[in-house]
Amino acid sequence: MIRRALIVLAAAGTVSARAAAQDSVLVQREARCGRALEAREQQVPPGNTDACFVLANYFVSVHTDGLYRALAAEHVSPRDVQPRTGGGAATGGSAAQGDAVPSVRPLPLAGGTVSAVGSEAGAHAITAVTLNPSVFLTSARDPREAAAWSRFGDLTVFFPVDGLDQDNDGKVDYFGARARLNIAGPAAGSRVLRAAGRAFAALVQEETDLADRITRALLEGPDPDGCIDALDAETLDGEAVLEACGDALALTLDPREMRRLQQALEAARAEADAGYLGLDLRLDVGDPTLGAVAGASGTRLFGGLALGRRLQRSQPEAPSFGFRARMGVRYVALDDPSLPPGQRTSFALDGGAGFEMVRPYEFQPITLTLGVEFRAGNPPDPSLEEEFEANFLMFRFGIDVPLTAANTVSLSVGAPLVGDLSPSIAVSANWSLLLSSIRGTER
Amino acid sequence: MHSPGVTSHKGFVTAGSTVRVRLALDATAQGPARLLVAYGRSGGTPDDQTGTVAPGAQATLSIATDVKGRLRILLDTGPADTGFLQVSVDGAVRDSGPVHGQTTWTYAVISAAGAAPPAADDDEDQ
Repeated sequence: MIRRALIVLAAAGTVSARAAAQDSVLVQREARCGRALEAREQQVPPGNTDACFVLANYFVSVHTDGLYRALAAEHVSPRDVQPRTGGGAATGGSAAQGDAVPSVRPLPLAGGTVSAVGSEAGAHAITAVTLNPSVFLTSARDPREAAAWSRFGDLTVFFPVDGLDQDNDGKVDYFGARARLNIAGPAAGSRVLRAAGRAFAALVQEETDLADRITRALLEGPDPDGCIDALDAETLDGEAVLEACGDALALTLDPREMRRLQQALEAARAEADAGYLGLDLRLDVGDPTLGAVAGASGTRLFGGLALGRRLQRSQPEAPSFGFRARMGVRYVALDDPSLPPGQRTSFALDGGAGFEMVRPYEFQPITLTLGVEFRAGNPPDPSLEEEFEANFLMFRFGIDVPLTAANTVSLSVGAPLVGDLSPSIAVSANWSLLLSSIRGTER
Repeated sequence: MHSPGVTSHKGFVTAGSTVRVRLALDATAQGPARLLVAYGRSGGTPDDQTGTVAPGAQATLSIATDVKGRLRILLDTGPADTGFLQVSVDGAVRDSGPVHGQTTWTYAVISAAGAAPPAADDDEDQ
């Protein structure tokens, strides 16, 4: 009995001694890792707690940072992929309309347009200024709010500058205001950003698994000093790593994961601005025909929905295509005092649909839009159809070409297919605070 | 030996701590920046937090660590954009500094203090 007890005690002592010896080796190896961190001017955990794990993380960073730097080198700035609205101010529905079918993508800060317009009324010049109210309304302390609202909406005011009061009645003959409210952009950006976060997390998990393997090699490998030296080499020698660490550590990330992260980040940048869904609100006061139709002066209100979607390509520099559509109701109240009050007002359905093609070119894309716009109304008197500008189908074409990082020139043409409406052509110079010439020199 | 200045490695934080990452993007930035923080767990599943920062604004992301792992912060922004990045651990500022273009910082997340073996200076071969 006593002998059996002594045997058990002796066995327990042997196990305990072996465990203690193993602990001692681990402690010594952690200390060795602590010294290696110190030699590399890295923070050493108190008591060398997980020093080998910290050293392993250091090696992972050293060898994977290059991949992140490569990601940075291929960085596409938000401006590279952000769609343009045809250059600047919202002039939809006026003679200076730049796009075939106006979108409701707002300008993030401010912009302006000066247009030379030709129609049956002759040549005119219209100037427009756009401001995004988020510049003043959002708090710099709430970034999510600021990022969302800068994409949410803008306000435009425009008026002819070649004759504000041609009829000398003491009033401005014509001016208009536009509001674009895009409710889709920020939400779309959040969804894709979430996907980018998941791709990033997968990559970091892969790095963590790699750090665990290195830690095991540092704690249990045959030659810890040799392992540290082998992992610290500028270029890893696979044979030396295997011999010293006891594990064929590759210290590289799966290129497919890296590519997935890159694609997710690019998609996050592009997706936020690729689609729009929102309100298109317009006010015109005076004669929008600029004198082409006598008695057309009045007040016009339009409220409608607009949606558009650009199909993003995997290559940022590749052409992309998209569609645009809008639909709304237009109310007109003519000023003509000779008309009976019941004949001065009318409602009409107003809409349009078209395609856009965008060819990214260095600092800005070339944008081409093609579509038709229509209006279907029932004027109180059929003879007033021209004054109310009701019932027409018009072909529209627009092209916007970048000149500099902050300026574009656009050409737009409108030709009636159905209805008695003046054809028009407009050449516009657009500027925007959105762009900067710095980006082009940084690429 | 690699130069310490060229690595993204910023040291370690202790498991159980909450890491807060604050980015203030300069108003001169050409567009919004994306701030991503991911936490990989040893033998576990990762967590991440993402945020968007408008020019002239700031964002703070927070991530709670529970076990040993690795933390990487990635600032995805235009190459010329500048800002200020700050990392706090349980309310105390851990690292901070100006950033220029795309930036990444990494941390090891180590076991909570006390669970570690005692320090030793002896060499196993001695």
